[in-house]
Amino acid sequence: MKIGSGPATVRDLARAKTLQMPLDFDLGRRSGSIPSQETCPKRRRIRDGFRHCLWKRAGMVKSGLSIFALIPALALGQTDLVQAPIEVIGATDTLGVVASPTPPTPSLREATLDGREVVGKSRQEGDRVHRIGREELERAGTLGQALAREPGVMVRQSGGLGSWTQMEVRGAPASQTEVYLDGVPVGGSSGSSVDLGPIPVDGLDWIELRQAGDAGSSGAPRLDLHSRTGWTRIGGSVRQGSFGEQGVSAFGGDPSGMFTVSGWGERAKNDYPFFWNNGTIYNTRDDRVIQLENNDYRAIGVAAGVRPTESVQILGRWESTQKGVTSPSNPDPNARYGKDAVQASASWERDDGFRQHAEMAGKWVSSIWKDPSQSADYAVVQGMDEYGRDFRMAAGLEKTDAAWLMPGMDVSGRYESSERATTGGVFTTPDGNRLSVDGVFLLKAGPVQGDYGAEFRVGAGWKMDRRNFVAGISAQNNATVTQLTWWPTSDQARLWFAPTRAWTTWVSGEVSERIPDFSEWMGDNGFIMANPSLLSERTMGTEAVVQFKHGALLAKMSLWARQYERPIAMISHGAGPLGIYQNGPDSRFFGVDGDVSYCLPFVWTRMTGTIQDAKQTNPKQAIDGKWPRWTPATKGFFEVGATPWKGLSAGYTADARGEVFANEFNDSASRRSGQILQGMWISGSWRSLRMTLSVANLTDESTKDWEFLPLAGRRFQARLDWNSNTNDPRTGESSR
Amino acid sequence: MKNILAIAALTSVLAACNLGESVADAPALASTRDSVDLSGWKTDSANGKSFAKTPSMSAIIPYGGKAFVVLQRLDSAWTNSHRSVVVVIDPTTRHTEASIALPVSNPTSYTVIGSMLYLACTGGYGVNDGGVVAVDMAARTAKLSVSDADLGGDAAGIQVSGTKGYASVMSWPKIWVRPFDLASGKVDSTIPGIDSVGATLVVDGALWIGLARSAQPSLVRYDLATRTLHDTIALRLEPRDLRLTSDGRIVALQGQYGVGGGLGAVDFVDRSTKALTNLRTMSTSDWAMQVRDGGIYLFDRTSGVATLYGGSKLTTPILDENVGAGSNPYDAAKFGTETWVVRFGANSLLILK
Repeated sequence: MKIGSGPATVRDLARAKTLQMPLDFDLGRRSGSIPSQETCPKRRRIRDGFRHCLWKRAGMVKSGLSIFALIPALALGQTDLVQAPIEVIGATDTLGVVASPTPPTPSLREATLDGREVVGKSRQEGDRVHRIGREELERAGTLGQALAREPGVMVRQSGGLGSWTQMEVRGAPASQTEVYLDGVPVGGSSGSSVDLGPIPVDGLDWIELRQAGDAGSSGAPRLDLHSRTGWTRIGGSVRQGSFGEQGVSAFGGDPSGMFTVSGWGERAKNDYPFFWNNGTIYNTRDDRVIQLENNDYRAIGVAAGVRPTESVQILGRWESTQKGVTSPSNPDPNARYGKDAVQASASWERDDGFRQHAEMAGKWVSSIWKDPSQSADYAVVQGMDEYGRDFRMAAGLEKTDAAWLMPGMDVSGRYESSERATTGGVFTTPDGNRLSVDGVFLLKAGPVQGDYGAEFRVGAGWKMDRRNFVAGISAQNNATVTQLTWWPTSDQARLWFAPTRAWTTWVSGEVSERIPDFSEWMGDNGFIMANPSLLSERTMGTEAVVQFKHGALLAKMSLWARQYERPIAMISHGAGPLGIYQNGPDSRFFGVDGDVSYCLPFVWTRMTGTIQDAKQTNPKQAIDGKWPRWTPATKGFFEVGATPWKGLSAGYTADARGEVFANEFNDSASRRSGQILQGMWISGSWRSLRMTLSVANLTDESTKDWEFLPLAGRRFQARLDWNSNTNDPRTGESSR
Repeated sequence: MKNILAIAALTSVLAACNLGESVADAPALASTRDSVDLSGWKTDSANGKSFAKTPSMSAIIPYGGKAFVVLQRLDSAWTNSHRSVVVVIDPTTRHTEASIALPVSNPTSYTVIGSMLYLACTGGYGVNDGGVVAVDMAARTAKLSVSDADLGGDAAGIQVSGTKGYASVMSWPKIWVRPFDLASGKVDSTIPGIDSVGATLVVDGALWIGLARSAQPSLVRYDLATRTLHDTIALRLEPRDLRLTSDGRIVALQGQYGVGGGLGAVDFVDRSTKALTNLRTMSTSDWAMQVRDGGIYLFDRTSGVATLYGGSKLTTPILDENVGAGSNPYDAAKFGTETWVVRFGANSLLILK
């Protein structure tokens, strides 16, 4: 069997089954043509210390690859196919290792299966997307913390584990980042900003973040989350941390790789102490250290996958979260927010020179906010229920046989609906639904075996929105509006050039549009008025990237500029409490992102950083030209780790943020100094078990001004992981 | 839901973080606290709607040695199925000695001229069931001066000059000023060129109008004699309230919704030089203000803090008290050595001694 001569996923699964190799793939991921890599993936193999899969792989590779292509993998300890990205060097129809010390020949296209890249026939785009794998997720502790370490990313978090967390990429409002979970959009028209806080890292295998200019993005930042799976593996974890943090997870699959199931649960009391000035800035005599009650959080979830045939994959996921709603300024012993979500997706793919794929997904979401004490808002609201449905179908066709011109096309249709109702006798919020269809035309151009190329992406779409205020006291009672609109979707153009095997560079330009979500254009809660004439947000951006990769060194620098036009924001409109979402004034960001990693067998380090300038235009003189709140000019992350002895490793992390302003006036009183949060961890492995002890915020920095709610101070965690390979009965050793 | 949570969980928190403030010497703490229970004025569920947990007190007016406390008495639908009232409390005995039922509901703004208390009662939003009510505090009677229907929208604010009332009238998305005759209720045409009123204030024969245009918030002077507009003064943010200090300066409370809780600011406006002098900037937008008792009260409605600025320039914090987390303070007045604080989200008036 020749890997790469046919549909990659089909062939790989067949090979996997033949060789009893653990393989993951994700047919639904349209970004599959983009290589990705973890930071220092070799480390894991060093710690795991097994060698069996290495030789298995060697046997597999023999079918279509020079054994020399595997040597870099050996040198790097890249012995794992399950999670380690792999990459082919210099040949078609084969497998290789992403983290190889020499860059791939840029004439090859790599298709990404879960954790692997498989060479196809078309050209390679030449850039790489950073993959945050299991170990980075575990060390970060939360999804938000893991993302905050990426260059260009600002994460806003309020409180402890499970708390409200949003991500802003290169200044883009959180709602502009497209978030997908197992290929299913997480955000939607019922609320386009995604709260990343209640997504446990133990429910994820790995994530990828694409900047707007990266290949595989739609012109907007894109975050792909992948559920914890156990294809041909079995394992679990338990953890205990400070402030009531507890977690447990398990995953497993049959040896043939046909089924997988995983489950996870975590909770935290979040009863950490923090300084509170009692809301009085002049009166210091009532300042004290407090702990919040009803600040707990818990989440449970289950994910499962089936591969009934080699080209079909079915995934499902259910999760439920609940947390207290409280704050130091408005403590509430009873207010709760809970959310349940179920999603299922099926995908199919084949490739016979034209990659053909189709996906179908459905998602059901319900949330409930209970405020029996009526303290979380105006006194008459006691709670709110929300129900949402989201169905999506997509299909695409893309030429994959290498040629000067390689066109492609994708079409998708989506139906979303949302119903909201307050409890306590008030019906103040609207129902709404949206039907949308969009199409994208793709074109890749360049010499078949060349070291340069271009890519273009042009899209257009149509939507029909309908809202209905079912009852209640809204100032726009019982209004039914149907709106049909054509709108441009995101467009992107990229030019790449790889002058040598070590250097890769590309420039891109993109325009993306975010359509208003239901709450924005329909209003909400009776006091936010509808604005059917609301325009989509538009973002224009460009970036120039240089990447250098030589031996153990990987360095990447991006110069970028973004302009956000017509951002949607709620404004007041004269006397009274009524507000409305309107398109606001523009803002501009430009900056430099850096990402450097250096990986040796026994020590590694990674540094990321962002230097940026942000300017918002505003006709109000007091705000015009000022920095957005909590936006630093500099931020960075540093990590160093070592494996001084087999099975033992340790590391140090530092998350730094420069000075910020607490509000848009940028006056001296709103200035907040920078902070550095340090952490340490030590991990020991024995066979398929690994024990990790970690401490975050080592110096117990006060983070009262870090973001909205104070974060916890110094906190400890102990974690035990078991990770075994179900298709290797001889050892049961880890395949991660 | 998203917005409810955002407002509840974030906006309120941000307010309490007190960002963007300058810190002066700590003012003296109130030595003791007391309260006046008004829970008996809560609405009930007789109309089939669940009731609010508080009587929704929204204002306090000292007159004749008594405290006139305005109670909106909202039910769960932001309307009042029971009538809004003004209760009269004896500060000495702290007993409610009378109540004045209002002919229309939801009093949201007021002005006082002598013994007359004029209340702008919004009623239901978007429903013309409110109006301007004149309460004679001496006679303890109330009557409707002009209705929403006559005004052509929700009454959202009121100022008085002579025999004329100037109502801020809201008919979304326009908010204009409509003069009317206090005695007859006859309405005049709206002031031309004004369609986004945030606050109004009568000073020396002129009506100062805060224009809450999100792009260009400003303050304009409307000459009541010549009926012409003058003196546009750019403001920092959208005006939410205007008050007059004892030394003749206008104090403008301003706010702006926005990501992370919005913005707020309090500025002194010198009417002659048109210059703005900042008293305070805030990182949230939900504030209330009162100029009384020789100072400026500023209420952080989300964190529940009442601050009184005094001194010769009215810039010295002399009181800075959390009057109850989540209690949503609206107004305050001094009775002797006691400061009475009206709390929308509580069942009792708080008394600071």
